[in-house]
Amino acid sequence: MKRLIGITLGILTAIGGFVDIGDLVANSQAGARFGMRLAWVVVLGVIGICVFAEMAGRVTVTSRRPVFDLIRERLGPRLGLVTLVGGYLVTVLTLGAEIGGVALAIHLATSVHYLLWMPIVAFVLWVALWRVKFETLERMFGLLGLALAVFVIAIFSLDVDWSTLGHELGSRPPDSESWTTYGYFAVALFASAMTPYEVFFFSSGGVEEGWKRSDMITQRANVFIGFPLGGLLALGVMVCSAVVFEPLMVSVDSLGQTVLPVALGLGKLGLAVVLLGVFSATFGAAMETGLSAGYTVAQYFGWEWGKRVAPRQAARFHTVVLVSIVIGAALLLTTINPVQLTEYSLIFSAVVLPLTYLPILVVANDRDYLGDQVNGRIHNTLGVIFLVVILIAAIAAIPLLIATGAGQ
Amino acid sequence: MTNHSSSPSADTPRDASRPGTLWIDFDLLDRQIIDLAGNKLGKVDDIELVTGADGRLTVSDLLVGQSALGRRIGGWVGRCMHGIAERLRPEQDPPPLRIPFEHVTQIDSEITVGLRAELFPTPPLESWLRDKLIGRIPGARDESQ
Amino acid sequence: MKASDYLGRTAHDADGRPLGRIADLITTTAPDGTHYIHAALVTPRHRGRLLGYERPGFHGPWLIERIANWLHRGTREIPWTDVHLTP
Repeated sequence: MKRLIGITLGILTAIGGFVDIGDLVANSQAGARFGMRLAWVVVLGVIGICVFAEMAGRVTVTSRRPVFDLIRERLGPRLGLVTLVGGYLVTVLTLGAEIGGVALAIHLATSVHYLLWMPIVAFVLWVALWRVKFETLERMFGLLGLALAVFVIAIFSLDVDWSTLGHELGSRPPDSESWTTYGYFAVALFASAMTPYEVFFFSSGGVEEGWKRSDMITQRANVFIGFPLGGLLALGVMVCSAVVFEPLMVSVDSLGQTVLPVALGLGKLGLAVVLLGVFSATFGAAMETGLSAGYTVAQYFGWEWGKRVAPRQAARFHTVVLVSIVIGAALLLTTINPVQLTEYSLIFSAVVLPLTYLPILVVANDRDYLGDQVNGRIHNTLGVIFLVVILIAAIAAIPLLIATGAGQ
Repeated sequence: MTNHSSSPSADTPRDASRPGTLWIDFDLLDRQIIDLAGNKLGKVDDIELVTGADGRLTVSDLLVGQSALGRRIGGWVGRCMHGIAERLRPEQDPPPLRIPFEHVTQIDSEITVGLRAELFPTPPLESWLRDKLIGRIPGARDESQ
Repeated sequence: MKASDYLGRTAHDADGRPLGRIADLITTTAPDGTHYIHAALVTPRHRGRLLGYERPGFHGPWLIERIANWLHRGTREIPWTDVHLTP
């Protein structure tokens, strides 16, 4: 149990990347339309985020520097500002979507319209970020989010044709789909696995937890257990959806449909657990994005940030968090669909991804920062390969978004 | 004043091939400044250079603040940043926060200054938000850790 | 003068020929411990901040190092006394 508590930062970070509100629906959609044909993207995303989160964690452990410090240092104030603006927009759009996601999860449990829950969710979120200890938040929502493991358990109570699913792995898109929609979903799943706020949150969380050189093992355990666990949950969602919806040719576009396979497989109890899981995962992702919004702005300008100091001592940081929650909630009150909102954030993601990951890779080679902990040959090879993949995904994202009308 | 060659701390081994040299843009600009207790003073937004009696151009102060940063960024974005910083200050022509370079005790992934943060004036945006917003919310003085 | 007043400016030699743009200012220590500028790093094609590959002993991933070195090819150190800001 103690070990598990030590890696909740990694788990919570991974939840924001793999099973937040946008991903729950996107994985479910991908499963319904493509079966397991896109499962490789989730695996690729897990490896990619592991490579870069581990580098970012290593920099944090050795130099106490979170990722956005590196971005401004290596890119300079102008390109750093471009990254800040893009990264902030992705984060706040996602924050809005998560607040909507929490409200949707409560709506499914209570049947009260989700827009009525929105202001309450936004307020509770703000109170949590204002008052509650970082470690408490991280442990509570990291562990509760693991309730989404019911998606994996449900697979075994559903009637699964494993050989069909096996054949779908790596095969071309089905006749009902084109290569462009396939490409769009591939880029969307990959980009969300690598969303920049994950490394912002992970490295800042490491500073909040006071990681030292002796915490290198904790850091690695967080990365190499947390992210694969997140990826596993995402694959569980995809398999469930592929089993239940793909044969019926039903398309998935709401959270209610996403959780349906669990209810079919495990009944009412399963449904209760999955709703708890969705609630915790989206609330956890809302905390991750809310704090990340504050972290990035404060770290760009060099302000005091974090939950180790009293809010009065970090007034600018807490103002950014507060304003971001208000903006996120206001976006949702325009009745825009929270799930669609995360798709638009892809546009901003495209610009920011390479600018976020290049400085991490460069600094991870700098002996002034890391001493003997600099990247080895394998780190660098993987880092460069993934940077190229990120670049391709970034360039392809916007044309694919337009060509497919957001995956229609 | 210790620098690269003379502060081989365990955490950050220095590059011995550059004895006593600093690269202004690379080693100083845009790095985090902290005091001895680890409080954050801001980023190195610009650096004041003065010509000494011997004609040498000497590093004199680290400049901190959005007005200095805005000047460096330039364009309308920079002017906005500079403008906001100016509006919040009580004085007419606000100087940026100056940290004399002789107080810098260590330069590595962050720049450590051998003075307490309390000795410096609170940045205008911070004190404005503290007085008008954050300080008025219950619990603003409590650390959550 | 501020550091930003020099960085990015075009440096000229004694005859007024442009040498390139100032990418960095390199200091050295005087006997009294102050740091003074003794050279400028001048690059023919300035593209924002250099990633750091000009520093001795810094090597990154091979591919990125190559690309950075290519983008910043021709970068050299010019003694500060030989740098003229106006032609």
